[in-house]
Amino acid sequence: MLLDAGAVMRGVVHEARPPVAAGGYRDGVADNEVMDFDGRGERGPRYPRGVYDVGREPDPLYTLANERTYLSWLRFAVTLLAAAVAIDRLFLEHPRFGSEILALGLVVIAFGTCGFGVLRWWATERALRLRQPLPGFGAPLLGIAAIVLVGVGVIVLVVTPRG
Amino acid sequence: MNTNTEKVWGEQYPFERNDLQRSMTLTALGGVFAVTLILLVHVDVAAVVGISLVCAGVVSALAAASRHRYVRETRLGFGILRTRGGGFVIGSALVFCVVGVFVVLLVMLE
Repeated sequence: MLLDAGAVMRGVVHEARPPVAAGGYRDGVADNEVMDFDGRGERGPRYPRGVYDVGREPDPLYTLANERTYLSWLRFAVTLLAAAVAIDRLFLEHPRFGSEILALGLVVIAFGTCGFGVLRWWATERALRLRQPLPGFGAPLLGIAAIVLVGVGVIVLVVTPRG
Repeated sequence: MNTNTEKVWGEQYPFERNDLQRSMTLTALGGVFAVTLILLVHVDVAAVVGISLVCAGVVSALAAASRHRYVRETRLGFGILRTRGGGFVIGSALVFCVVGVFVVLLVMLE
């Protein structure tokens, strides 16, 4: 019997498995199964069908982690919305064109962040179900660059003397 | 055959952290929504705070009910994820869009 160290730590014991190739892939597919369930809980189709109609059930721990990642994106987006409201209030007495642009820019980035979160959740869930490599991290880096630009905008807005 | 479908992380169930983070995120979303509403329509702050408290209670009750369901299903040996879908993900994203539209209105109209 082969024992997975992580599985043993979680108190889960596997049956003997075929040896895994380097990189955690077996026969070209990801070996991402740590904890299985019997599958007696099937309760009809799940939404969205585009995700759940493909592949087979992954390890629950991974999909739970995937949902937590989505929740982190959503919290980030909510924070950006709160920042937009704060900027709007800060410049309420002396509204400036730049402040409105900045607040609206933050809202746009917040929408984008939330959309990214959903798309990444979608792509990752599909990859987990299809035992394929997970998507890269390029798109979130663009988001970070956008946040840096907005930060520069805030600094410029604060430093520029009010006329 | 895997044998342990119950407490795999000491005293925690596998979904425990998700349940907590869902509640936290929804509460944050509700907070931004409440503040935006107060500023946007100049409603009575006390009334909104009262309604927010009721809503926070509802969110907590939903979280508790959801945890209870998952504990029961886990003990019964169901696959946790076989009984749940992406409804929360899509639903919360839609709620976020509604709050976002309110913020846009706040910035544009005030």
